[in-house]
Amino acid sequence: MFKVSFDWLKKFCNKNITYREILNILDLQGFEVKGEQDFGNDKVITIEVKANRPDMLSHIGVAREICAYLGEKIPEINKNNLKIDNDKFPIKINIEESKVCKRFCGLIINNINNEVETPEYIKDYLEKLGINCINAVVDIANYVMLDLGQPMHTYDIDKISSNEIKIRKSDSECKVNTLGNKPVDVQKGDIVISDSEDVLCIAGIIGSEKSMVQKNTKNIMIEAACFDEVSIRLTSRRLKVSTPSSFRFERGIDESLSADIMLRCAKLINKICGGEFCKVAFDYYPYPKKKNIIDLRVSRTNDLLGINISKEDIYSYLTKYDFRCENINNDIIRVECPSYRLDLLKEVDLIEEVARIHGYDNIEPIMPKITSQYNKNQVWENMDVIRKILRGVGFNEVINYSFIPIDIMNTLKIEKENPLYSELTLKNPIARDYALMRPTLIYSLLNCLAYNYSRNNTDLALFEIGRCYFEDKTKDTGCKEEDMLGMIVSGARIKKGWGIDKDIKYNYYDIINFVDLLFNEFGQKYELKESKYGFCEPGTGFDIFVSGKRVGFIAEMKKDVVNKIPNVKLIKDKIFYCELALKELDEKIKKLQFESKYPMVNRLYNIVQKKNVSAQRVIDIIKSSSDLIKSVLVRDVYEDKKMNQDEYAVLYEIDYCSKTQTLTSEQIESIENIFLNKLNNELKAVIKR
Amino acid sequence: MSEIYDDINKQKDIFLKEIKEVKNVSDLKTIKSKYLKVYTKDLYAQMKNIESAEDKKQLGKAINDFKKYIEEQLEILSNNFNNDSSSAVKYDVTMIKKNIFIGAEHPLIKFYKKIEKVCINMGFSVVQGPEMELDKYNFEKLNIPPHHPARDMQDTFYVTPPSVLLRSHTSSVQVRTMEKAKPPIQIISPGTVYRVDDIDPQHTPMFYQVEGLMIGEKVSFSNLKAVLIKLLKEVFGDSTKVRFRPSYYPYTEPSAAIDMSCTECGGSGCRTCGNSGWITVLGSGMVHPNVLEGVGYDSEKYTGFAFGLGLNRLALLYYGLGEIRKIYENDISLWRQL
Repeated sequence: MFKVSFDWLKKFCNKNITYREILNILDLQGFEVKGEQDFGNDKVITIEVKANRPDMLSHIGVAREICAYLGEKIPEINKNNLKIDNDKFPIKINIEESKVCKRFCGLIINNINNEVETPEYIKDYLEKLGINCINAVVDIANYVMLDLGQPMHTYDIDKISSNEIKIRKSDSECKVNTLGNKPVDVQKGDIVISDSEDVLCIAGIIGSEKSMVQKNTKNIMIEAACFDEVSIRLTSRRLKVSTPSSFRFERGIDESLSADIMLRCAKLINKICGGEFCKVAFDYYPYPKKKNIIDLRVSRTNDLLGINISKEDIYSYLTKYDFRCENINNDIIRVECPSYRLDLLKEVDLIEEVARIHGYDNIEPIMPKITSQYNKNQVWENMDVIRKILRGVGFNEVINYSFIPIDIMNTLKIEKENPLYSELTLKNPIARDYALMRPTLIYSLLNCLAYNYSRNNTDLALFEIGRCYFEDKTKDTGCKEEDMLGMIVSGARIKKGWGIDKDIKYNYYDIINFVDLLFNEFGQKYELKESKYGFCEPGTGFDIFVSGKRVGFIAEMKKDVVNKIPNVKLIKDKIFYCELALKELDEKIKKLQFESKYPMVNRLYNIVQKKNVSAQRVIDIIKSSSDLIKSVLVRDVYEDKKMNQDEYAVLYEIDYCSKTQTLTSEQIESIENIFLNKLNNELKAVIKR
Repeated sequence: MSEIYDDINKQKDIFLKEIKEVKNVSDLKTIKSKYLKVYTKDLYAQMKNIESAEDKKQLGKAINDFKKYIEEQLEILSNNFNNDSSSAVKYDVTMIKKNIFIGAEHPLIKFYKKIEKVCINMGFSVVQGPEMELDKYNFEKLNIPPHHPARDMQDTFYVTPPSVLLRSHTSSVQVRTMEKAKPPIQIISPGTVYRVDDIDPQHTPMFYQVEGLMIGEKVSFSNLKAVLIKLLKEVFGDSTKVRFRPSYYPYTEPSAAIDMSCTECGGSGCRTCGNSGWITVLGSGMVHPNVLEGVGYDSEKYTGFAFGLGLNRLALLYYGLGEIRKIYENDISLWRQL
């Protein structure tokens, strides 16, 4: 973000330009206007400057864009001839290596009067743009930075020990008391500027109290330098100190202008605070910046943008924007980029410039002709099938955070050897409650159900299709991810009224029914095998298997365990849960099993059986007794006082049908006799009369 | 003989007079019985006395015609009485049982599906990828080297620093796809992405994103414009205006930010769009040659474009939800209204 004063901009541009025109140009050229403030005669515009355009972090930079857009003369910074003599410079400046510091310019002014007030116009600008006013010298340096883009630092040279400074990477850790009495910890590798005793400045970021310029300061040195972007960035981030100076250095500045801007600043200080220039200036600049020359092909430009503009147009576009162009042949223009443009590295960067200047809105939309093939994503499509089914039977879809409380394994009594166990945590979570990458959706759905109960949304069925995360050393990331389906139900499925005497509540058999519904839709076979989970009531935990592989589980929640999760206590009814890995669901083609032109005969049988005999065994025996039995369903299960404790009555519904005739009562009775005998003999199960 | 026919005609006339007096269903029953049961029975009885087969046949036809006529008239009359509230079975159709529900959709999914449908119809395939991602795929191969200032925009969660992180965009899926397949490529990659942010009314550390990628020979910026204009118009309506502005993403060059006319005010300016009339919806651009070369493509031969949009803020606007964090609070009473 950069704040621009409208009034200030007009010093560089055509005086007649209107505020609206400037806003429009900025928006069209890719510098989004994020805010506007009114200051009487002036307006301050906040623009978003993306990482590629640090040249826009000054008023001259913004003015360049506007002038170029309008076809006016682009403002320039005057070149000056400073007398440079590094050996005769009164302060000995030692730069460790050019990697750390590409350029370092210094200039000394003696006998200034810094007691003077900063001129009103400078104060006014700084305040509007959110910079604190300190004293004349500091304010002027800040003003010139906002004007021309070069951050500068000023030193009270009387406080520099032994007239010697070093620019180096710190080789040890130390505490530095920075401006405003804020101590920070400098670490090994941070770039610092120090005298023979102390750190004077954390390079490019912030100065120390020791050498700061105050009202009574007499002799100053102005520094205009260019430091390594990455070092500044790392130090600034680690110290959590971001200043207008560090903000510019970490994005990059045009070091070829440092000396000129420094002189401009010195002259302004001299004008306001008086004093005398030291005869020689310092300039360390071992590798002056090379010209940035890129060849641009007209054909490539037109192909990539899908337009058809002439070489002449491109040539004039670029020239207008301060590029120097030279025709090489019919197709190629050799382009020299302005030194302040740090973002142009390749031909494609110039193509973007051409597009920007031509105007994105002037590029005609044309539908592409492409012959790629649509590839079906089965897992993704299955998710939609599941959504449809579950919504149809009343489940609401939710999406929860992927990170859950760090101690949830403990809360839910999930042990290390359990398939749901995980220790996969974030190293920088926003809080302990959002730290563990969830290996199961159970917490998410319990929490979500409880939240809804706390808002009086009761009697709910919720589902989530979401990722779960596990460690897996064989993967390139060291982690494995699976798309899971979680379903949770509690309370009334159908409320009383309309002929229903009592709420029909979700029960354990409902959750099995939902599982069955899904597997039936996909035409897949599954098995349930008893299992143990710390969070489920004994005897209610069952794992779901598909072709011998565990793909999920069902459970009734154990209240004293899950009640430890906030608000779950509000849920008075039983809670049932199911979780299923989606990748094992695979759609099988289903075929009609049976068709007959004769009617189906339907009979009900109330069988009293032992509780430890599964319904499936009874069904298997019934089915094995005749080919004419087409289906056997469990209609109901109940107990009454007349039965033994270990027995209950199960109501079975059987459909009989033949392909060759209408079945007679006699035929059905004879089949009945077969399976009733078998049930009695094998399972001691008898029909209830 | 002729007396019988005269009588039939006479009865017809009396009938026509009588039905005018019919006031309710009970009157209707009486008159129905009088003519269709009693009188016709009498007529059939008279038929027994006729000897000639020819005459019998003729009278039979006359009786049937008479019956048919009466039935038709009574049918018309009874239709009038069906609306009579005093006699019909009464239902109050304003009573809705509401004891069976369809489950609610989550707004992110509901909104995403609108986008997916348009993309699939334009030939895009849906591809998924890991959320726990290597720095290589989330940053480096997208032309974002370590310490690049663009990483600031995407403050990242780390699983195993510095190499394993939670993806900050689904562009990582695009890189993984390009590494495995040769052009032409036309995919969208939907999914959850993460950026370090506290949970407050306007921020969440997680959001849903969909990115698209089209790579082939001579795929151009003008193609990008056409596809995205089509996408926005299909999702937000044909009258939607679309604007392309220069922008910056390290993995695209040229890059474009795409605004559409505000869904609330239609472009005249309101609180939703900050009075500008525009809402930024998409980031996009031509895939940077460094990215193409990085996955082994010849960037001279193949070009392409990529786009991405975050769904949370858009879904918020689209469905009128007040706070962005509510998306993950899942208050079902809200979702049921959508």
